Amino acid sequence: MDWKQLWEICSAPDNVPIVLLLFLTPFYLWYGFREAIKNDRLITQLEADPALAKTHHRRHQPYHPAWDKTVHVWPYLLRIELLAALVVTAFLCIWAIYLDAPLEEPANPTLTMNPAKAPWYFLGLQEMLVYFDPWIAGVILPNIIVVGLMAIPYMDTSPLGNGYYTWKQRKFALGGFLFGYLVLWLALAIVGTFIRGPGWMWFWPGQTWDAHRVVHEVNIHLHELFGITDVWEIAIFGGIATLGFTAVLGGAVDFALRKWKPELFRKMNVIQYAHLVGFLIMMIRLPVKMVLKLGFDIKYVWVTPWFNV
Amino acid sequence: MSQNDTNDIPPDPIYAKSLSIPIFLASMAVVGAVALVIADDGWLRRPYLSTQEEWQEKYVSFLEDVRDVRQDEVEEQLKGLDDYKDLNKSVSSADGEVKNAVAEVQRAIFNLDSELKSVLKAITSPRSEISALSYKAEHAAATEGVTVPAKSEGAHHYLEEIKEIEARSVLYSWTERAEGELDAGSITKEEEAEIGALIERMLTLQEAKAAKQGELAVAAKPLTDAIRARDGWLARNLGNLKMILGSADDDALEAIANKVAEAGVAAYLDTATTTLKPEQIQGLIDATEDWSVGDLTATQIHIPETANWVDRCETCHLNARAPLPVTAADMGGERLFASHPRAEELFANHDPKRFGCSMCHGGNGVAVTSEEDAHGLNHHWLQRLHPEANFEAGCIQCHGPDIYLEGGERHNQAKENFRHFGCWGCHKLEGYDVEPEQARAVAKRLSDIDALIERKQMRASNLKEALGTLYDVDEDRFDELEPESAREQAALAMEISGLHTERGVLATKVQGLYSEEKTVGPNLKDLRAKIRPEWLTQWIANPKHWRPSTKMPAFRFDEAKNGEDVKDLAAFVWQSSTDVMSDVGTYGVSAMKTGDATAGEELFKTVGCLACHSKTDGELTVGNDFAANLSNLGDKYNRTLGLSYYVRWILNPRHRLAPFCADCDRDLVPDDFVNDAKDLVFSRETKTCPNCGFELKWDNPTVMPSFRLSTAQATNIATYLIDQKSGEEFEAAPWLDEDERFQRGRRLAQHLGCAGCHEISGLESEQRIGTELTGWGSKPMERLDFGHYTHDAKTHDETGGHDPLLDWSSGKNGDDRRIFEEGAEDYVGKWYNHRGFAMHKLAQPNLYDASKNVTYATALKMPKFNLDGQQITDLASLLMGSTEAASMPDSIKYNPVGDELAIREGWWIVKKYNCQGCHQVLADDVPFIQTLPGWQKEGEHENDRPPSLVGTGFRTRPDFLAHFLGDPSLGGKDPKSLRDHLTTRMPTFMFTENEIRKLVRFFDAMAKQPPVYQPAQLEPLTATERAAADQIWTKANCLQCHVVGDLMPNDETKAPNLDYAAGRLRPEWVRRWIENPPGMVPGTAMLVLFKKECPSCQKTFDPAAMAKHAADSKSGDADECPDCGKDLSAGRWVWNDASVPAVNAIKGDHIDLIVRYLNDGKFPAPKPK
Amino acid sequence: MAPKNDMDEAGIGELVEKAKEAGPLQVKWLKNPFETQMWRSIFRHKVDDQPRNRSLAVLSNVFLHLHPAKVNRDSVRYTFTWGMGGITFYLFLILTFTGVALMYYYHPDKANAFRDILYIKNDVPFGNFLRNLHRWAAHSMIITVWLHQMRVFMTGSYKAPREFNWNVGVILLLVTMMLSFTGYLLPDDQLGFWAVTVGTNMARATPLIGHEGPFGPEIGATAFNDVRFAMLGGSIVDANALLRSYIHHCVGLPLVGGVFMIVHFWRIRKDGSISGPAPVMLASEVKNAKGRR
Repeated sequence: MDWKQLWEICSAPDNVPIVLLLFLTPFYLWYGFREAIKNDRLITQLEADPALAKTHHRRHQPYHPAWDKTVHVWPYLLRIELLAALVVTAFLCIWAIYLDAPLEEPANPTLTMNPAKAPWYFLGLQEMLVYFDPWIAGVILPNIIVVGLMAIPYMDTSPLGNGYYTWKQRKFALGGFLFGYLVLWLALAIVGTFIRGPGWMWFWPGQTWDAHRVVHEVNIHLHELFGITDVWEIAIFGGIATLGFTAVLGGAVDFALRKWKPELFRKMNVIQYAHLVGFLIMMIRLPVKMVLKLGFDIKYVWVTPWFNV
Repeated sequence: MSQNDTNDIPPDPIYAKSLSIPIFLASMAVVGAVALVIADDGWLRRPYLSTQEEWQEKYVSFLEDVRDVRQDEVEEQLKGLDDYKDLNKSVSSADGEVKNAVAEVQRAIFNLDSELKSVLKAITSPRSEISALSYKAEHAAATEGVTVPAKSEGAHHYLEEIKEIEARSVLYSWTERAEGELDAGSITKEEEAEIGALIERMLTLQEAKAAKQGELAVAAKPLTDAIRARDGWLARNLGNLKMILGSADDDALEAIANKVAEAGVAAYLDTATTTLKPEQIQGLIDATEDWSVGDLTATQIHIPETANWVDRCETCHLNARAPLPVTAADMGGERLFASHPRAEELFANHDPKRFGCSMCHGGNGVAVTSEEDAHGLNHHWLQRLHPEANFEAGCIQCHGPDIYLEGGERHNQAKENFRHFGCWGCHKLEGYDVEPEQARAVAKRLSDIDALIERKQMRASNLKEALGTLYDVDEDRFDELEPESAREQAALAMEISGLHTERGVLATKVQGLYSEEKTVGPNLKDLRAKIRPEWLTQWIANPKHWRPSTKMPAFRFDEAKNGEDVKDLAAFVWQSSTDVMSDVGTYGVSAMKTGDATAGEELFKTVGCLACHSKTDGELTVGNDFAANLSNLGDKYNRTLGLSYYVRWILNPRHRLAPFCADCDRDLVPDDFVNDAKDLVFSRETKTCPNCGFELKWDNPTVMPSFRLSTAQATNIATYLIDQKSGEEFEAAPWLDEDERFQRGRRLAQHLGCAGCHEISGLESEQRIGTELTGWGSKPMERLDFGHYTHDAKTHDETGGHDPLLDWSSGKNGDDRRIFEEGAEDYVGKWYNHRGFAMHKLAQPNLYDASKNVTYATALKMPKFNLDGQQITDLASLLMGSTEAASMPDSIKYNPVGDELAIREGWWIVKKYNCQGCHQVLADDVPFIQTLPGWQKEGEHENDRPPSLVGTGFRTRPDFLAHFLGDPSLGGKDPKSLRDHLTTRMPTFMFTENEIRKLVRFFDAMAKQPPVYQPAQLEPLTATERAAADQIWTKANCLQCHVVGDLMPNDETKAPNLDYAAGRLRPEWVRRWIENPPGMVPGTAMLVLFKKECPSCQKTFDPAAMAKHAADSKSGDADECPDCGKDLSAGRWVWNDASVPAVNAIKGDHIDLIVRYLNDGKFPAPKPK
Repeated sequence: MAPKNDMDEAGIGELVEKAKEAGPLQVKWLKNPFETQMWRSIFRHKVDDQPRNRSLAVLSNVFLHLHPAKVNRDSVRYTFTWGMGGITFYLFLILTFTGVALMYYYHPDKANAFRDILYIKNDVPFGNFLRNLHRWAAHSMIITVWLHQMRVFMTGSYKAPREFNWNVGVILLLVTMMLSFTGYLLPDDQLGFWAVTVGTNMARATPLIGHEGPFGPEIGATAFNDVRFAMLGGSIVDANALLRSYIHHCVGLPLVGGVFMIVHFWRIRKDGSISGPAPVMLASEVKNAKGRR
């Protein structure tokens, strides 16, 4: 186990944020779910006792009718903001004193860095480049992520969970978001930082990053499995395979939604429902592609002279 | 929880909880952080603050020692000397004489002065009033346009006021000294006067005072002169340690002795004899004491030429440019505060104000946050600080094309290693072996010209032909076109002739370049004539076995083939060499009888072969390693033709067996010359190739000169050389002639790059197989492949990263070369840098193939040179220093012109032909031949020593030097060369015109002579002058050592033939030489024949007497006549034998006479010796 | 002699009386500065601890009236909002100040960029601290933005009526990441150069308008007229790219970000201030709920 190199990667000035995220994200997840559990316990209690539901103030925080419903911003909110500001300032000053911002050799277009990595927050995208053609990983997927994020409020219109932590009432929404954020974004970024070494090769933690390492990796394309050789046939086969898979996936998602989330199916109009299924397909397609690539070394499913998928 | 019981309502947690503690703590954290930020930026990131304080304290204590050492010890001793005592006596007597006169004048001045002061006090304010009023008057006059204020009404009022003020009378008093009083005045005086009068009084008083001060100076002059003489003597001798030690009494001597013991002689001499005066040192002390610690601007060097770069190295290296040498020992062992070594010498032409420090040393001049940042050792800084062993890599950046630099010892050694070991055979480096490329470029231009000429001739003939046919067909059309085509034909003719002239020039140029080409190893085309087949294969397999001192490295061969590939290579080389046996006659090589070995040995030892070659008899190796070691040739020489080949070689090494034609790209064979049209001779006379007309290469790529020996002498030497055998038996080598090995051998030869160092037929145009090294120093680290050692190199001595070289040095893996000197392990450190890569590669060239599974074809090819630690470090410096220096602006780079360029080019030729083997080129170097037993003092060749070349430019005329270099025997008939008496004679080096021109310019530049020499016009001798000169010539018996005419040299002859004096020597040199020969060349046999006559007292003194007088005379002035003390310089030189009336009749300078006599060259007929 | 000015006229005596009169007033002022004319001209409200004053303290202050006078009692708890939005905004302020400070020394051209960073690191007092602070605040801002988004999602605060504000948030997320991305190139060192090169190489693969994207070459997209060229102002990351990213980083994106921040803060207030901790709603009550206004 090459602890020195592991320490070098973790303590490299520009990797400090991702290491921070490694600690902050779990903490805040736990912090949020703690609240969610309290609310869920309250909800089950209210559902069990409708009478109580009528009178209860519906919040798990300490409550007394006589206490003020609203408090003055000054001083009660502003003091917390002051405290937050002070803590952040102190933390940043210490960080700025003891860790110098990186400054490497002057830019030299003729000398490629190996590995040439994007900034840490785009490493997720760069990791996707391994599985997809650049046009999908670099352009289509980021746009889908952004549009997907924007479309969420218009798809998840149920008023449940509006303004309070709950897991019980929003398993599907919260599960979907966290899967997309934690697994597809943060996990890939962490892989891009710690696992991907020179030549964007897979180095298990502890393996020394050796630029000379040669990995025998034969990428085959789906059509080769079926022995199709003619260019046009490949294109057609690819199209069929991709669209077919999408249709199947769509059907499966639609079936699953109807089965487990009937109220969703009922309440959403056609446009909302189609968008939801579309985004879910795109989200599921990524892990499928990763499995194809890592597991079976299949790189492209659909190969055409103009683009590959 | 019912709503109504108000009184026991629990307190609202939001209101109850107070955040004051967390906020307090947080704000304390912020205050602490801000304080830390200020501390960090003010002190923590500035380690140099404490360094500077430490420097202050140490430097002041050192300076005080130096000052005290100088003040108390040295001055006491000097003051104890009688010289100083009598100077002091003269001071006190002068003081006595002058005392009362001076006192009187001082008293007068005192009185005048005190009156003047009181007058001034009285009139100051009225005078300012007057001047204000006069301004008003002028202003009024000016506004009225009246030029004279008195005439204008406006001014009148003010002028009246002025008069009124001037009329005011005022009382003033002052004190005066009475006669003989020395201090305060006892008489007080009082006066009353008008202001106006007082103004005049002030002026008169000032004049009187000035006059009196002049008097004072005159009166005190004897005293001031005496004091100045005494102090001048003291200051002059403060640095004169010899005198100090000579005069020191026992305890002072003892004090000095233990100071020397403690700090070492050099340090003591440095401190005790610093040229700085005590006051200057005191000034330094004060400056250091009130040094403002932390002031960056005081210690930074701003270099505008390199885009405003700033070097702050002196922030810690504060004594780098200290005015006096400061060693680490002086500063308590702290090397950081030592002054820059060899400061005057280096800063003379590398002024730190213009170059800064990081330009030569590397490192990051701007950073002062830590030693590691400042020295640029962190991973991302491109110019690392060169370690001490490689400091001269900084020089090589700008002095790439130089081969020799005065004072650049490691630089010269590095360049010499690169040249000596033949690295340039495989690696291209700026400045090395440029002739082949130039020759190829010229050859290409030549073939282009040939093609152009051909095409133009074709065009011209077509035109003529077309005109001819047109004439028959259509005459008026012909008339119409004829003039225009005639013009074109004329133009073509002119172009063709122009091309022919250019071709002629280029032809000689390419011939010159061909003969200037030199290869590292011998020409392998002669193998079959030169060596025994049995010897060849074992030599290629392991050269060092048979000849341990050889330059040829040990190549790695494919173990799998266990020796077969060596045989293939030997076979290829053998079969590719010229097949001499096929036509023995034409090649001029044949079986011949051996000569007399003992005569050969005698000749070998006297002619000077050992100046370049070496010979090992038993354990003793004698001679220079510039060229090959010639022992045991008996094992090697071709039994049939070897002897005649060696004889042919000794007679004229440059003469190839067969010429090479660049266009046909092969060696010509005799039947190329069998040509019915022209009867061609297979020798140098045929300049162009019979097949394609291209220039032929007849010169061997060697620098060995011809010693102009007779065939018999050459045979004797060859016989002596082939007599010695090592007694080793060599098995027969039948495989050499097997044809199928030829191709395999050829591919292996190309693979190993043999054609880089040897000329092999068929591989003449092979390029160098190694990487180019010209810009290696600035290659990015990513492009240096450390192979599997990459991780070790990066983490060495931290997490146990391993350094194979340290095993080598400690002899672990069977190689006992010490790469790093004792105890260097600690500073070797991380070797993931240029230095590390180069040193490991040079020590073990295929190191980076370690644990790589490579085939023989893909393995690293560089052979092992068995270099020692110092050679490796120097070569590493060379590689580190050859940078693209893109960051270096051209204005700072060293682009020599004129003399400096001549010196640079000259040195290449001096090093190429090893002139320093026999001659002394620089004042302080010892030619190799003088280290050989024969040529030392009392050795049998003591007066055979080759003349020193120091000052050749000032001694010899350029045209004679060029002629001499071209043919040292001056006309070929050996007797009557310049120095017939010498047995070690200057051989003929067959320089090209280009090389001769460069050498002559080199000697001119070294002697600081102007490039074009105009000889001074000397008038011819009158009859009386010639008679007098003849008298001197015969009486002084010049012919005892010199020779003229057809006089034969005998064993007394020690000096050159004076017939050549006229054409050879520069009159200015002859004059200085005859004045004082031992002064110019200590230990010369030439006598001192003339004396200097003092113009006033007519006494004569020879140079030695004058020098002695100058040394111990007080004034130290050389032109002072020892007797009458008058100025000698205007005096004339007189022949020291005053008995010859004819000579005494000559009133002019006798040396001028002799100079003109020698320049005239008509000497009386010599009597046979 | 004729008096020159009124000083002499009053003479020292009168002066003393005048001082005596003003004395007690000044003492009063010292004791109670809030009564002075200067204080009242600045602060329009009193400071004693009355509810009215507490509200006025917020409402009459141009910066603080970002907040309402009173807020939902539990929204002041850290456990709900984690303070991420506030911290992000605070980091944005730090970045603005340190950024402007660095702009004094930085020239965005190839000849000076690297040298200026060296100058800032070594010569400018507190320069190294400023640069580090700027960089670490930038990285922290991205972390807090992501955590803020996570919190908003976990609390379902994107639901009606805050959908629009959620979208403004997503745009702000993009602006933050683009700010950091353009800032990465400015030191003009290998790290920045290659990071940006990798990032912008994705742009050349855009379908239709990227010269290596699907159908791009077919419709005539080349390396010199595609979207990547537009972004970089050249075919490689060179002087133009440096200048463009400098302008984006210092002017373009901060302005856009600023505007969206204003909209974001405004919509928080208008959409009912901090969304929680809201009273839990049961599944059964969903049918009739119109969704909070």
